Amino acid sequence: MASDSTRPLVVTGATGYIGRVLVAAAAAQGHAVIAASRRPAPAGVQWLRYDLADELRAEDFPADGTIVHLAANTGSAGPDDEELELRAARRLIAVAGARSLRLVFVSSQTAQRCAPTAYGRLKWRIEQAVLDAGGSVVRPGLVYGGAPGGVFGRLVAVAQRSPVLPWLFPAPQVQPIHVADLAAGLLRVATRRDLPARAFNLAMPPLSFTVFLGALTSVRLRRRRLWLPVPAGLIDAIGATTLGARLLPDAQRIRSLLALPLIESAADLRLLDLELRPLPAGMSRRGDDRRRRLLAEGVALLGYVLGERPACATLLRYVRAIELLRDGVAVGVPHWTARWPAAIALFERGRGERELEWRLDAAVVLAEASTAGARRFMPAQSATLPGAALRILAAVASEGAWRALRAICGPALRRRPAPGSAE
Amino acid sequence: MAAAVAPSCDVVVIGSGPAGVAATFPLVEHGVSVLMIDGGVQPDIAPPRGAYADVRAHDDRQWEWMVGRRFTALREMNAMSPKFRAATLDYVFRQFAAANRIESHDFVAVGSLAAGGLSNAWGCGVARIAANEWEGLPFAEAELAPSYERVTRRIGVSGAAPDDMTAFFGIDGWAEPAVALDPLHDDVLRRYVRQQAWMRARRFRMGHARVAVLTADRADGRRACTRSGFCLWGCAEDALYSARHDLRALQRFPGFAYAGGAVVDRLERDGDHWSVRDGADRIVARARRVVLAAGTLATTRIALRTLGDLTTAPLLTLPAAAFALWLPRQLGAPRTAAPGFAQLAFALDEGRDAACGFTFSTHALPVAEFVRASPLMRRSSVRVFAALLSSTLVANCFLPGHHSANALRLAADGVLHIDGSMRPSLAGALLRTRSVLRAAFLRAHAIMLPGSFTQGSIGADAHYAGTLPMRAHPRRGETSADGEVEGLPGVLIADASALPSLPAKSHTLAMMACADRLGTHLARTCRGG
Repeated sequence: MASDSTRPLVVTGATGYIGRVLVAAAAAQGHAVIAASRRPAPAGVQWLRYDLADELRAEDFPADGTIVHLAANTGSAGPDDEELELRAARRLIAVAGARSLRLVFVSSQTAQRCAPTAYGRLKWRIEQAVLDAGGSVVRPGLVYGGAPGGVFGRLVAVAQRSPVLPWLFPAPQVQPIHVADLAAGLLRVATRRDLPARAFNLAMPPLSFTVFLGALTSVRLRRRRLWLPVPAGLIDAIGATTLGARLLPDAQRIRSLLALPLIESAADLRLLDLELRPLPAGMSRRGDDRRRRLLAEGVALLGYVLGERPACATLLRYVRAIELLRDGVAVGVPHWTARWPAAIALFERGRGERELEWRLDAAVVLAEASTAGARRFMPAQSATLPGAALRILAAVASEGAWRALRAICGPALRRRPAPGSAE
Repeated sequence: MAAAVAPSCDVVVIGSGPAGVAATFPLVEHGVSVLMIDGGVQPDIAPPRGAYADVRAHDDRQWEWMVGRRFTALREMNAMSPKFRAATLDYVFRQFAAANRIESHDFVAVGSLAAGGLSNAWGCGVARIAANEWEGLPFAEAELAPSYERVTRRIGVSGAAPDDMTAFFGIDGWAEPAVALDPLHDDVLRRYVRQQAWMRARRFRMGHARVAVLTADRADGRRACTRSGFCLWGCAEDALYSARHDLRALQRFPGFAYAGGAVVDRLERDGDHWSVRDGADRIVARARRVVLAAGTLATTRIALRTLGDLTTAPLLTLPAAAFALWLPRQLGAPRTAAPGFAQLAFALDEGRDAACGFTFSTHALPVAEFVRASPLMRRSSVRVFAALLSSTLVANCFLPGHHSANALRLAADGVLHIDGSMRPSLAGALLRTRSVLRAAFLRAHAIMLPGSFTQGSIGADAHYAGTLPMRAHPRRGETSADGEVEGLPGVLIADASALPSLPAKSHTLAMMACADRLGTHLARTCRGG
């Protein structure tokens, strides 16, 4: 894969939602980044003052390298503004030609010649201009994750404020892409020399907007929301009226969101060698679900030892211990063991060097050092002869049953990667 | 700060553990001025207070002492002894090897930078090493009798009883009676007494453990044992001895000064004085005489660094093993609060194959200790041991130090390397010991749990000795009968480095008696010169 991290990378809209992440990712990979934006660039990054309305001087741009054009007018769109964006793109095309720069235009999933919204039609016209000049186009799906911004920022704000969320029917389909995955894709399109100059679709396969909003509230906001069934046509109708457009400043955007054409992205993702993170992982604040998996593992292992759901404090101590003393990554017991911790018996393999064995021993220590642990590890009931004898017999019987079950399930369980064997 | 005090002191004592304080008392009592230096590390959390079962049932912060804010119990999960996992004792062992530049291989190097040294985590087993048990002691053992008496009375020992272990311990004359045994131990001892003839024929003896624990409150603030069970985590009542108590007592002597916070690297001859230098090459003290009592490993490193031309030394350790005993007739017994220190002691009198050991209540031991070693799955293990422990005891046993073959080597860069190993003789001795113990305890209706007899890691017993042994005719790197290092005039060894042999016995009291004798002789020399 031919890529080039020594040539300069100009990013317009560098302080925006996507721009911030792209600039950081590019800088982290060692690219010489020039942030072109109205607001100053973050410290340590070269800044070029840039406004969509400005005339450009070619000398301000480096010779050779790539321009990633992210800047867009995010205010309410009138006919003048449309022309503004198109003119701005033409100026960049001219500069790119003069300085032999590649141009990558970040468009939208809605870009279509006959898009139902002016926004979608405008993006299509810019795309055509860029492609005609030999540039590339990237069409991201619904960008989400990271520090809130763009459409995602508005959705987060609404979901945070509103106790009730619309359950649109028929549910519109969205094709999300995490902002960091998009930044990685943009970098590849911008720097890889082996790619054709054309349009790339970067998005997940379609999923229901309700699922997306559900992940946003449960994973990102960790809140429960009431869902109110709303016909999708109603929102569309409100947005279409002049009054509605004034009451809902984002009406165009929201209408676009609801009328997204589905795009096919699998081939482009393969070509770029880009693997998109799953939605629950991307929705977490950190942008991955490392901690969520570790918590699930803690619930499973501590629950296995305690015979009851571990207290929150004990669980957090487990996570903290694994983060402090081990690699901080879940060891890979199946997620359903969090619901059925007794089944950890199927994965336990006695004492050994395996990471899972260490974590089980740690879970025993942490579980015991709690009041729930005192009840489980020092039960009052065993202070009589029949009580103690019965408990021992029951434990031995259950051990036998689990060993038998493990022998039966063994082949099926072995087909999955053995948990913890790689560590 | 230390240097400011230094010119006025006659003797610098390095180390505030049992050896250091034992050597210092006779000095300050005879008007010799002493500066004591140690690592100065203090505890960061107090040991728990109250009754174990109560605290466990109600204390939401029990993880702070059971696991620790630094997750001590998890960091030390593979350590042999639960003491290394006790968060309240973390400070005792912390940073010792790194600060003293000790690197060990197949050897657990234990030592302490804490005020009071390793005695803060001591099991408090005390015994007199009899004349026939010493090998190569360069003076008459009887000379130690007054020292044994002084030390035993000062630290407070209980366990005296007219039983089969009276002669083994040899200190009943100065000890308080034993605290009451818990029902399990009482059961075992009764059955032993009933089988006395059979047991004696197999050279197995058992009786009360003699332990440095108080049975009555003292004026200095130490209180009698309350049987809380928390011994493993340190005694909130200070009933268990720690040299920290003696350090407090020493500070009332006008001729005594204490400076914590220095880790000594070497001594340097300076006219008729010794300059004491720390790891950063600063002079932390100066005196004509220096008593090394930093613990065997640290003391040996200082001595070798100072000698300069000697790079190796032998190192004796006690081979140790642990096992669990189950009393079937006690199954379902109510959990009774019991002290965590040794309750019964036993000895195998087999000449060079001798062994001794102690039994402990499991009342206040984490069940996790057993789950980790159990062949069952964790979930079943927890349930089994939760029901089994009220009828279970644990025991340790020690074999003589002559089985050890460790090598200690000072590298040119100042790092002390310790390679742990045991002689081939040990394997057979352990098997014989295990089979006699199993038979003897079975006779007392206590079943050694199958597979529970586990050999400890080399060095984890922390009974180190013999690196700079006392000899009648010392060679370079050995010490004289008065503890002076041959080749280093005015440098004396008060800790176990100077013990010439290490029988299967708790050696702390013998070390303290030797240190007391050394201090007494040194006091005479100081006043004379």
